[in-house]
Amino acid sequence: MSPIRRGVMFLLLVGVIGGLCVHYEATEDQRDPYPAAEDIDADYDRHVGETALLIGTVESVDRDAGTARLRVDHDGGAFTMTLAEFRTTVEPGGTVQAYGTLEAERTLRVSRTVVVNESGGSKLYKYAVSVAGAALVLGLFFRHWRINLETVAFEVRNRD
Amino acid sequence: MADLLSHVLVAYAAFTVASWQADWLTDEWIAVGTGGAAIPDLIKVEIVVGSGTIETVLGVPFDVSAVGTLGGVLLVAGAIALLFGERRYRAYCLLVAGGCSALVLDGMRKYADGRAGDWLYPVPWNPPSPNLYVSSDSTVLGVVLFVALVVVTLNRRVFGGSE
Repeated sequence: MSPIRRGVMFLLLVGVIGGLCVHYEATEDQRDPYPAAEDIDADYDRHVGETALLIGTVESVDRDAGTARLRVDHDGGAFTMTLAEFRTTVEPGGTVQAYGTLEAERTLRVSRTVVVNESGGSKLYKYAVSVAGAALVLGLFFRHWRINLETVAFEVRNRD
Repeated sequence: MADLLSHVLVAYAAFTVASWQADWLTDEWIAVGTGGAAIPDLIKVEIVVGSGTIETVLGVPFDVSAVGTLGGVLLVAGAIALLFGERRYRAYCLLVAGGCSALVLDGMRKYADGRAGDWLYPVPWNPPSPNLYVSSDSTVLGVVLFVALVVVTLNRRVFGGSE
């Protein structure tokens, strides 16, 4: 295949990937068995009684009352929910998944929680480790391959 | 997402072990497969350009997260494989294998509803998750680092690999 044909194929594939991203978002509601955060925020009362899975940042925890305040961010903004029967150890700033039933007055009665990040700091840990991963994978790849600008293709590096 | 470093180390260890049986799987092809494991992590471009911003510019629904699914891996691997000229088919297979290893690893994380999300998209099935770990848990990285180190040592001492 000539570089030009490969270039055309490449652009075509990038277009299809873009299409996939559009289709993925457009059909999200059909795949997701739970109401979307945007929809819960826009019309809360309509969703009371439904089962929901919310992912958000813990703002505060009241250990004695077994409740917590959860901020849920979505593409169109953010809203705050009360989590009832919340019995998980997490610091404010941490990220949790909360699964349960939506009740009146923006309350989620939690049946299961998963702590995704214990505190705001664990997010930083994840990013730092991911940067190390990116450096490792690029280093490993370009140790063995280089780009040939004439053929616009990777070729194996000759070992000395 | 489990962190990118775990994805990369797991794929590297797996391809290295596979190379003990498959002679064609040389160091440069192990590097390609390991690179494939980073494909689902390309969704992290969201940190720089959010899907919401792209939606506003394009005027259509858009979510980069599609890249972190089976369908996304199959397509992105295709685009990258084109850069391998005549060896694109081998590159494609290894990139897809690496990408899928990362997806499977992510599919074993903890989910509050026990379902591992839609990583098989466009296959309309959310598989159950064994709920093994959360990605901010540093024990996971510790275990993965240890395994990778054992594999690298065996590769050098027993199987005569160079890396």
